[in-house]
Amino acid sequence: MFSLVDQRDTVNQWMERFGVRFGIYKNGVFNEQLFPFDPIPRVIRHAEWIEMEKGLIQRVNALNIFLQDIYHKKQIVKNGIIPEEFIYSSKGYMPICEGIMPKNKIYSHISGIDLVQAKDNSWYILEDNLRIPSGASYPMIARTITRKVSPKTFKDNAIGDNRTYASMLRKTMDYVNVDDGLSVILTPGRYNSAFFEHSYLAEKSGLILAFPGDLMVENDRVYYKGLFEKKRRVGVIYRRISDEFLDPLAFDNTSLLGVPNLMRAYAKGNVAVVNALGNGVADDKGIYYFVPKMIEYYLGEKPILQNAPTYLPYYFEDKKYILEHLSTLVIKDVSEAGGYGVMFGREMNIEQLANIKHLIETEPRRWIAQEVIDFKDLEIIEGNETVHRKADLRAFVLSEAETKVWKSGLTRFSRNPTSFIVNSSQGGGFKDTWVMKK
Amino acid sequence: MDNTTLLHENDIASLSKEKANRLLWLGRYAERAYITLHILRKYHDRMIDEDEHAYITYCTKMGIENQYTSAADFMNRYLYDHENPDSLFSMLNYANDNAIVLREEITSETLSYIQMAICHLHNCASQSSDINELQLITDNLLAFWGSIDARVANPSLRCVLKAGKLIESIDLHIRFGYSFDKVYQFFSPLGELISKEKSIFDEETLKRLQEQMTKIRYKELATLQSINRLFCAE
Repeated sequence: MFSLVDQRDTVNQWMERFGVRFGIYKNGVFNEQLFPFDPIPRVIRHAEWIEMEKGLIQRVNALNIFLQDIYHKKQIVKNGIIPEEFIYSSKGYMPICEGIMPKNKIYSHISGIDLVQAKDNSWYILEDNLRIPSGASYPMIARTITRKVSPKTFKDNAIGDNRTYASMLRKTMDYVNVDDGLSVILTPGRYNSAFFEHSYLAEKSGLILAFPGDLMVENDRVYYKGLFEKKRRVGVIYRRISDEFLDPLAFDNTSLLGVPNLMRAYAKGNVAVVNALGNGVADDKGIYYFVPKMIEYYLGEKPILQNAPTYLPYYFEDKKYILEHLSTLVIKDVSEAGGYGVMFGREMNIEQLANIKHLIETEPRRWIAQEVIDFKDLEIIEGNETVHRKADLRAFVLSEAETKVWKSGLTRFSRNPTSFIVNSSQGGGFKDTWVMKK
Repeated sequence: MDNTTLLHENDIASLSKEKANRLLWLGRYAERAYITLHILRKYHDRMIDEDEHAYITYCTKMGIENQYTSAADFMNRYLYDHENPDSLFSMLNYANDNAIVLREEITSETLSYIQMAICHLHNCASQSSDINELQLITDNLLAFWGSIDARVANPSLRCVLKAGKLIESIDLHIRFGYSFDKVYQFFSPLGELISKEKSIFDEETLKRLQEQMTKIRYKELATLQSINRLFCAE
């Protein structure tokens, strides 16, 4: 591993050579930058991984059943496990998806589950991403490069291979492909922040990278528009476009990114959409609170992985606790993502605390509060020094005939020594995640 | 171990109009950058002690505005000015704009040669390097085409890319007054390519072009017009 650290500059040169970048908009201007890579990996012991893997599979299985239930019988609401206002007021709930059953009953084909490890080594789930979780391509290409520049590191350590993601993704898509049609990744385009990932996954998984305008719907079937009116039927779309922009005739009619009438084709079961539309109801930060209850309700099992201790101001007792302990909690706006809408009570002044108290009292459904987990710092190289920074882990869980966890993940770290926010959009970097074979 | 790229299911029917255009223009811009460097070296040589204003002739032949105040200004801004749409910097960036959205077709390895050419140009620009320092860009562009041959299996894709390369080559060689035999060296393989993928090219234009491609007429404006109208997936 030390040779890998020594080869940091070489790794970054290879990253540059392969165009490993992510886009960022600042003040309306698009810039592409390298995603800072740190050569010291996060290492997960084999036994620890086995336990995490079980917990992640359990959680994603429950979430998939929940989505099916919510868009059909709603037993979990009828049985009083989740109050109905948490469903119907969720921005991610889509009435248009009522009664639609995706092929093979899978809603969340690719789930990105964010975890943090506390100083006592226990893992906590921080959030579920069931719409368009991104980031798998970075550890994939990092591993390809680090194996080139430091083969000894991999010879001397029994590290699970993470270059299987491309075939796992392809298998996941093939499992739901309708009528053996084309498999495509639908990208919003070159200026999307994750465009590198879209093109890299298309390359490695043997998928067609489709841009807005490349797809059309005819007789409720989706076609890829080839040259000279030659059309090919599309069987599965891995969309990297948000629900609201996917079909201008069903959702935002100003969207230039979508495919008109895609929703009709999808509703009729003529094309699979990965991940399914309407998944936002399950990864809503308010619903997160109920996931352990879901696991018990649907699977009859105790949750293996725990949520971070979370309070919902919707419940009187929780609200009382939040208002009394505001200065020690982290407050999250359920409608925000990407590290935005996250406020630490300890960093707020009296006026800000008063404002947030007022908002919690007037809009209780909009907020959740969590205990601040003192997550374990990871070592990173900064200049010539080794420093410690906060880091999380996004685990990727893929659901096909079986639910499987990719033996790796995206470890993101904060480059700011005082920050808990690790998102790349806010300047964070990434590490490879090694899952040990034994 | 599972580290291979999975097989693409592409054929001509899964080649969209936009993708075909990007392939063509990737081929054209990569070749434009390559030939530009080649010709620039010749003009740079002339400007050393033979004709310090040779760049004016260059601009005329290339069909670009002479916005330069001296040979030195030309050699600097024509190579490195990122705001100048005619510059080598812009040519490589246009090539990259097309290549980056074709990664899944041309592979990351092929794309990397364009990326490396741009990185090298950035380094040279920051030091206002002499044109002799740009040999690595030429080498990368040659490696790019070698990688296309080695890694792009789909014949339709290769055909469009190569057609772009040859069209650009014919265009520039005519502009700079190369002999008929030299120009025909590029026209002949273009004809062979077109015969394999007729649907992408306009047959009428091809007929006109074949009539134009004679020792007497090949330098006429009509030849340049036809060569630029040959591709009809636009």
